[in-house]
Amino acid sequence: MKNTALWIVIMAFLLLSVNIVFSEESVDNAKNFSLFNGQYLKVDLKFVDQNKGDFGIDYKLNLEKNITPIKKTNSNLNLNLKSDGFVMVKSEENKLNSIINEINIELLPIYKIPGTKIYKNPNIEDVLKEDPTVAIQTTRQQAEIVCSPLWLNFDLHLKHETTQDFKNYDLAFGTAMYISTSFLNVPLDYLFGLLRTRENNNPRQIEVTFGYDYVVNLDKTANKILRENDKNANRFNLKAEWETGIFKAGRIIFAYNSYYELDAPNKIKDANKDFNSFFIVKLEHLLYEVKDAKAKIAIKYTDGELPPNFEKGNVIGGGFSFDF
Amino acid sequence: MAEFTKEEKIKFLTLKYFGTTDNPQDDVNPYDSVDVFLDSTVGSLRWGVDATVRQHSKIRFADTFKKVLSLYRVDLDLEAIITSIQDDNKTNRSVIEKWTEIVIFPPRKSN
Repeated sequence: MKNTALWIVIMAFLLLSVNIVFSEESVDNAKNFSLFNGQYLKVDLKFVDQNKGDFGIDYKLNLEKNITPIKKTNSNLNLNLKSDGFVMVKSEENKLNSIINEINIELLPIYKIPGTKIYKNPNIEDVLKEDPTVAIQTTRQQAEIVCSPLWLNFDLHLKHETTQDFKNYDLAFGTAMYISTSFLNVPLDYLFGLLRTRENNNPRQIEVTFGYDYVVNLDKTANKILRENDKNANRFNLKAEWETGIFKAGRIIFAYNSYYELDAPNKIKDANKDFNSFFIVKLEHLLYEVKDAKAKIAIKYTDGELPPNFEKGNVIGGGFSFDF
Repeated sequence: MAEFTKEEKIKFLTLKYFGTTDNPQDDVNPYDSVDVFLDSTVGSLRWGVDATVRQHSKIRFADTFKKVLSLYRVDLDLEAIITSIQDDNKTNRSVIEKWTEIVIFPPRKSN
């Protein structure tokens, strides 16, 4: 637990220290210099079953640095530092704990299907004169027509996958292809659309990721007894995240993550540890009429196995969700 | 030729920003009220849970927003749009104010 607390303190310090303000002559002229262009920390506090540790924290941290725009392909090259954690107060009671730290270089996008062109050139004066509700509705329709329905992004990454006590860990390096698309919105959203009572509470594009990792240091994980002398592995990763609106002010979020080890040792296969998956479904009640609807009441169910140990577990957590 | 005033530019960009984030095919806008939207932070929009997913949602929005503005021959640099929404702690109002400083509007058709 000490290690986990120390880790959280380090991350908070990192997040706070990335913005450095250099003052010139007066406060009005102060220039903001940021080491990173974007930073994001999301924390879900969860109250869970007593025999699973009472209380836990799920967090996601990302620090993003734009390296260079590539004008020729209309792409951006970015550097990201990420940390995703599922941390429990009592890790002995709940083995579903995991911290994945990652550094990646991403090219986005490498390809996109262009949206439909609108040849008519509307007037700015008309927008300014008309009822704002009409102007916004027109914009929604324009955005729907011109937006690109399919995107491909690509990254190279290095991951450090550890348990929260840092006693078990491995290293994985590889590549991933990200696909975002609105082509699946109609079938995916059919049921939720029937349960929706507020307009303009629609789905976001689904994002599906195909990744490959070469994993080393597997003799430092709890599965080393199943691996004998085989310390390395080739692993495929499939991820997906999608969100849509439900009821009047609800958002339902689905996230799936699976790992498949290619040519896994027989003992790993016999123990059903060659294919592992992890699933999250989260229902958030939005305070959408309140400024900065940052805190949401959330119910979250997680089930499956996470690196490095792929111990099976499930948690139903209820509580609050915060963006910082 | 007469130009659009700063207030007119802010009003136009506000309506287009609000409407584009509320794209029915890629909806990240949880708000019904434009005023509440303006006072809220960029980070409170529904870009996604996973950090990478959020980043990609912002890039998609920037691309769509640029195209919507282009319909009106309004020129706002794609990099400027992306950079402005990378910081989750900015309010949407301050993002629009920043855009107003750098956006290029065509001359108005009527005086």
